[in-house]
Amino acid sequence: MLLAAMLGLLLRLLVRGEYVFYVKPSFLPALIAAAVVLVLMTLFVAKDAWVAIDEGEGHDHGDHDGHGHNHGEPRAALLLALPLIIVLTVAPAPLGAFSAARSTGSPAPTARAFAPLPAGDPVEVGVPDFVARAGSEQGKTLVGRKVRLVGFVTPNPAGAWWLTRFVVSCCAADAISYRVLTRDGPKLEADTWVALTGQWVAAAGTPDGIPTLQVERHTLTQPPSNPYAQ
Amino acid sequence: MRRRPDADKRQRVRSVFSLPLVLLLVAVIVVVGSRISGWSASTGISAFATVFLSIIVQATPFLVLGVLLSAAIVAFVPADLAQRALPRNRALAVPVAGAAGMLLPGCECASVPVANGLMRKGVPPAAALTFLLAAPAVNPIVLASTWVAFPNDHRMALARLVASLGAAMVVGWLWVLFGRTAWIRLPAKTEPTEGPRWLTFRHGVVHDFLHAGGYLIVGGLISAVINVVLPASWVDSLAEQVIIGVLALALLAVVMCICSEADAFVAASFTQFSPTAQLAFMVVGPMVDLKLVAMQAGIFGRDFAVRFAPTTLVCAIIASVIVGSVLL
Repeated sequence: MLLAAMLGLLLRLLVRGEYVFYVKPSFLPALIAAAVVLVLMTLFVAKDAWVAIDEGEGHDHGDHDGHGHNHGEPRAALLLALPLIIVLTVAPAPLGAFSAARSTGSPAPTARAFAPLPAGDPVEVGVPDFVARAGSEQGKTLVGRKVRLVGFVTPNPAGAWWLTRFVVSCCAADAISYRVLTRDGPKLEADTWVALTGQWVAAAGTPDGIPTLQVERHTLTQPPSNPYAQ
Repeated sequence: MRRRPDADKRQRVRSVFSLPLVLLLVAVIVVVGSRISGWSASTGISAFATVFLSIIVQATPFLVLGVLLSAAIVAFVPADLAQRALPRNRALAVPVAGAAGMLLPGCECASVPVANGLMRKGVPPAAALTFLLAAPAVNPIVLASTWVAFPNDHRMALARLVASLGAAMVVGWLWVLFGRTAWIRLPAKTEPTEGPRWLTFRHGVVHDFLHAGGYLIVGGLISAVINVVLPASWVDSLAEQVIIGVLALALLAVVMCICSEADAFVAASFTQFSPTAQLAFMVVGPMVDLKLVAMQAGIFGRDFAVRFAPTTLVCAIIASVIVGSVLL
């Protein structure tokens, strides 16, 4: 039955597409394969059990099973029900402002040269890309360009909020946050998803690797289907 | 493996009565899930749930792969193959096992059950343990991701290879010198003559998954609680001093439970730390972290885990410091 609990967890996350809150979308085939194996394992265990009942020996288990606990479901396996219970009681959600505000480190600066941004006014740029470009070659690929960034709001106790995006390389436990400090942005609640149009503030520099965006326009948006940036 | 008939029966009875209930529950969840999970107490609890579930969801496919491989080794591989493939000298078998570890591109979650399967097949524990440590730490995917994560310093990937392989082999040799098989609790020996191999395989898969999976949950749970209660930013203040920085990132690697294929990117983000500290993060993480220690305790027993994990941690830190000071 504990196999079925793990299977239930995977099915729920796969059917509702919530698995992208936890792992990279490219994990999908691996998760489906794991679910298939779990289905087979569950069916085998169930079949064995029905055979035992049919043979009429199913209820005779009281007296001589002194060593049973070594071979049946180990007690620790009961914990396999926990992930399913947590998914049922705590609404699945991607990492948000709470984790971003407490994360450490700033993304490693890359010395590589960036190609110029594609055409467009404004031009759509990912938050991690924006941060990397601002930190490279005095941000020359951003100078004079109007950009559109999509992310969520992380409140900043010391001033204006950060537009934030997490990058996940494998699962959400290894998420790294990328932030852009907003200037003259609207007042918004934590975890609100918003698209900002504006320009990089070259003079503000990138202290701690965090660039500043002069906000000109904002539009509230739906959370993207993959909450984490590539 | 075969279970005793009476224990088998007991499990069958339990499964029969609970299985339809759970399946019904699963159906209900999938259909009306949104109404059940409409509340979320606080963002802290939500962050805990996300970190916990991501560790579990990410580990599950690798754990499944690991138990399939392990059960296949036990059920289908001829008993004398391992002995023939490895050098008879146990000290020589250690580097061979380390090199073999480089070929299995799996996360650490897969290597725990596989090492168990190898030992049950008669591979000397020292070699199986070296394999257990080396496989997730130095496989090609891990080295490639390290190469990408440190674009400015490709010596980091080399340093990782040398330090990880070195630490894994030293632990193997320490086991040759001081290890006792009595510390390892192996599940009942397989007798290939009993029952069809297919049945052995099937039972092995279910048994190993339940054992390792249960303990994986324990490790993931502790890691997620620490993640929320004690955020990673606590290490920031420790970056200044080299030695303390190394210890801080090594400890963080134990706590964070990151997959070895992703940890290079996280290590690269600790820009304020010394390269040696970043190296220690990547060498320790795939060998000693909470979910691994928990799974080792589940599969090999507590007597084993309380000796093996601290020894490995010390070896990994020393290897990182030596290699880091020479290469980085």
